Amino acid sequence: MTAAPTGFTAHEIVWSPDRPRDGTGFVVSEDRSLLVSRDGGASWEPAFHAVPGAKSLPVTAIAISPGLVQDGLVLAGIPGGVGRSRDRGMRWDFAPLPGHLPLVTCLLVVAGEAGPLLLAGTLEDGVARSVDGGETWAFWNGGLFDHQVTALNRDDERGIVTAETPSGVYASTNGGRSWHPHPEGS
Amino acid sequence: MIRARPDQRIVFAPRSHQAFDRGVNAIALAVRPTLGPVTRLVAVERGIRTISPELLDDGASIARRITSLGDPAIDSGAMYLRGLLWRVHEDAGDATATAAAIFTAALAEGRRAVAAGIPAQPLRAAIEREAESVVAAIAAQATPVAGEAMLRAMATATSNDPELAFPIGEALDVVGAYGQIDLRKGSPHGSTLEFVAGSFWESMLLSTPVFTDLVRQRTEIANPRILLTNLDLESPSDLIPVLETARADDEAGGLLVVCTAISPAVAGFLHANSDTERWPILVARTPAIDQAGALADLALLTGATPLLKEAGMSLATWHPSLLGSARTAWSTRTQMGIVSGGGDPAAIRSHVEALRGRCDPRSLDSGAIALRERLGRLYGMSATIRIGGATDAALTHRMAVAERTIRVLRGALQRNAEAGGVVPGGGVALLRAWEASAPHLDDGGDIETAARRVIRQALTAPAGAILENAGYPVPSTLARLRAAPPGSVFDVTRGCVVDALAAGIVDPAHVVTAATRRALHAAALALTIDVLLHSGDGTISVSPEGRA
Repeated sequence: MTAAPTGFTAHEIVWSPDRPRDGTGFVVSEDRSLLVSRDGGASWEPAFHAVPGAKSLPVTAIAISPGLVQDGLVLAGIPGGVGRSRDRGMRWDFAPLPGHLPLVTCLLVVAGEAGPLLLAGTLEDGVARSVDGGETWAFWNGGLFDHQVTALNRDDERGIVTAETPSGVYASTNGGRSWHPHPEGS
Repeated sequence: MIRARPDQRIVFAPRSHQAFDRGVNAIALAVRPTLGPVTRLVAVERGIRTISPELLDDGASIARRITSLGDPAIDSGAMYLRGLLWRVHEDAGDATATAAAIFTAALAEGRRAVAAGIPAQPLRAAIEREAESVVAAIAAQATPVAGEAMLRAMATATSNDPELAFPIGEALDVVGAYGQIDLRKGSPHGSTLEFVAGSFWESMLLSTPVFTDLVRQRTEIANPRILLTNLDLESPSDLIPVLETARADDEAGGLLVVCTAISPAVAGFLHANSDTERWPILVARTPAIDQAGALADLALLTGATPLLKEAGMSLATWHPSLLGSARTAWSTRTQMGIVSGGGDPAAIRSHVEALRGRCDPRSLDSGAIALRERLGRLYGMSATIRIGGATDAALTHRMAVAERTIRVLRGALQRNAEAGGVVPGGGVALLRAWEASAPHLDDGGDIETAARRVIRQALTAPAGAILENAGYPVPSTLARLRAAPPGSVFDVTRGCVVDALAAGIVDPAHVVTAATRRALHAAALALTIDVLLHSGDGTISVSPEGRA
């Protein structure tokens, strides 16, 4: 592993739920590079270094699965699609989002009995959803009147996911297949 | 002295009661097989014996096909119940067989009370008072509708068609009470469901059709600029500034013009400036149905300001800020749609909330349907269910069942409704409503006691009919139900007592309350009818109060 890059500012950082043991974390730097650490943040290296032609791919969002220990799933938003790793960021493949080069602004992985539910919020196209581990994606924007999604969150207590937009917060009770204005975010 | 025209006939009590009740019972027996999950169909001959009969399983339609029973006096009762069932159908969309069971039981018990000396008019008033308490007791049992599984269970309970219930439940889970669901005829092998992203209108393509997707006969524009108008575009020169502005926008991927008509010169001009691959131009006709509403909604979704003929606007007054935008616009020969419009989200949200406040998702009124369609488009996702059927008769029947089921479920989903949500099915909500007031059976005077006995018989009747239809002994099964915990129902398909919500044996609360209220009020009124007057031509007058 290379030495820790100096002078970078983290735009977004996520850690493995098993960080004390695996020391895995990902950073999206200010220049939109994706960096990975395997030693609890002591050193960082480009996550896409082993992907031909993808080393300088800009990353717009990052998310890891709450079941990372079991499924090793890491998602990274790239222009027009989502990068996916199933081995904690060692190898990556990329799937396009439908439409005209949607820009991913946020990602969310929700654990489920039938496999994880993956959601991608975008700058202009709403929320895309994948139920096959990120192979294919489709936009499900019914009831979501603002397609500029700035954050996705899950509320396990209420069994909902929420999408934050500049005009308010929307909630979904069916895993992102439809949305309604969330009273607490209006 | 009683006078009547020679061609008129007057029927007095008790013969009027007997004839009226015979007519009521004939209709009630015709719709009774349709009650409960183990239903049977009624086949209606269409008048031509060489074509297959119409297959019906809803009481209102069955009753509506019965126009005469031969004797005008008997017809009076039949038409009275027929009218009630149609009103229940219009109001609730379902539960007409339940209403018929309640009505006949209430009428029979009421007749016994009147025969025992209880005066009809005070009895009517007492029954109507009790009916309101019953309706409140039913509504108090309602549980909010949540999730695809419950919707599917409700769809199964309403349609008695699990294969059809599957896509209906899923579609409503996604598009909600106000969303757009198109029903189309599909293959004989089964029903399918697909979702369409964005909003679309029925709209003829006016420009020369050059499709980017040849298989689907569809052209798509990425990041279009959008001109909305209800003007006829006749001069190409008027469109030059519009085209120049859109072309000057680096982010624009093409132009969508929505107008009422274009001249051949304009069509040629736009075709010459359109590049299907790199910068397409589409011209779609302003939707003809509810044009003002469609233009207003398109404007809101895209952020465009429409050029309106009525406001004296023209392309001469056009300004670049009037153009709207979207992430995608598409057009086929007959439809035009937009995805992720560039309108103000907060304005769209408040517009939708305002429209919802005016919209009854169950209503069959044409204004309500138009409003619902607008809301469905604004929602941003619609569903298309292609319904399968082995024969034409089966397909027609399933289409009607699907329409009815969707309408019932929309009502259950409606928020802030008087009685939204679901109650235990199988007639159990009615039994529990009765039990809530049962301790007071003998409180008050003779009239109140008689009214409560009428209510008891009426509310027990639907559960009894469902059990009978499924072949179970009524008294012992009802006794098992009464001993079961609250929220339990008897599952006639499995022969055991189960939790209603867990098993999905539920009925929409608004349907049960509507059927109960209307049936009890109608029965109470029917008890006051003593004289039937009918003329030779077969027309009938029913006199509620009318002693000559």
